[in-house]
Amino acid sequence: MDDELVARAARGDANAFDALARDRIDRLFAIAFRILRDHHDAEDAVQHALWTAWSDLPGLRDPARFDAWLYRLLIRACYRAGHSRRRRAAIVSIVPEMDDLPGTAIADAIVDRDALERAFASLSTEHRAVVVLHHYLGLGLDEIAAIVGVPHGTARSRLHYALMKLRTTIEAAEPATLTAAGSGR
Amino acid sequence: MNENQRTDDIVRAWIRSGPEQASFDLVERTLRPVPLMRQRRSWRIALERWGRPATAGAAAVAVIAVILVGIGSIARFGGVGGQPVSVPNFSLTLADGPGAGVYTADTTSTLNQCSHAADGSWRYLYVGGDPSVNLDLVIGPRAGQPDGSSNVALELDAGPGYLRFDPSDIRGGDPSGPAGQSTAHVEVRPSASTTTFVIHATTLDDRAGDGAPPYQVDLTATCRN
Repeated sequence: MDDELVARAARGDANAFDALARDRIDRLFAIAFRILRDHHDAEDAVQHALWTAWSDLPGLRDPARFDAWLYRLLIRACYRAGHSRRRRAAIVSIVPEMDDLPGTAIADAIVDRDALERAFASLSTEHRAVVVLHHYLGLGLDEIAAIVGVPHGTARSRLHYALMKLRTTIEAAEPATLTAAGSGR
Repeated sequence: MNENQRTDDIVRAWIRSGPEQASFDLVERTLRPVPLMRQRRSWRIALERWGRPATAGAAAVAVIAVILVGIGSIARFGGVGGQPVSVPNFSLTLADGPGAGVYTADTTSTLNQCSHAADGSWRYLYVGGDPSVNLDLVIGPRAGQPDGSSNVALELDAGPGYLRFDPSDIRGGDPSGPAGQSTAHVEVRPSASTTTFVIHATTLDDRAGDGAPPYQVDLTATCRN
């Protein structure tokens, strides 16, 4: 069904593209937010990815690859937004919108969320993308490598490095908090 | 349970927390303009996929596109000389690299927007044209001051080319190329109704491959005051 919509959208049917995009935009936003940790940047990335998807859809050879291709566009848009934020911050003094970050009881109970936010923020956008694709979407390294456009080994080393850094942060948190987290599962 | 597994579970739970829904505004803002946006033809995308061999062809098509846009503009505004010019607009020349060519604002663009922030900075966003141009220009509030000529940053996709330059104070940290290879200068020309920014820069094109020299970028952008 979706393959047919993709084929129609590739031939210029905006209604077909609208249906495809509405089905996926929540997931795209959720991924972008988790990579960028900023509501506005995530919205920019989603918008850019979907517009690029519409523009370049006639070049997609295999409609069955639409979702993987869309994720790839989104990840590129996130890289772009990540670089852009750094550039804008240098020139117009953007204040990080940490208060926008939604909290959950789970995350708050697990570990010092500020410490995790800081550790995650210190990773490059490329590293964050791999962590989110793996831990949020549940993708394997082969799929991640294909989406971000790097060799399997690079995807694995990015994930390893990122998780090492996050583990260090967690382990530095208070033992009591960690114990609570462990028993809460 | 080993220690790594436990901490990975914590990371996973933290990653999974957060918003799951895009706002209604984002959905509408993103999808409403789609029927008005043009799709790139598949042969062009295929050519770009092949990379640099397409450069000459793309440049030739860019020149033809500029001529056609020019003819279209003349037809739209009824001739040259003293006729109204739509604002915002830009004219961009990339001397070399994968995206070499001349690009101008397309009146049927998806996004062509200039904003002037309270801190005095300007931002010009543009998406449109064929070959497609995606431009994000930031002019800092100090750009008009005597020592502020490098208070400018740009990120640009133009056809198959992609380049960017940062404000001078973070230019050395650009991971895509050797430090300090980008230069950028902006001149601010205010008038009663518009402000024009004339930018001359040299910077690396990320799609040109290792060892490619910095390219000359000449961009003139005009915003309504």
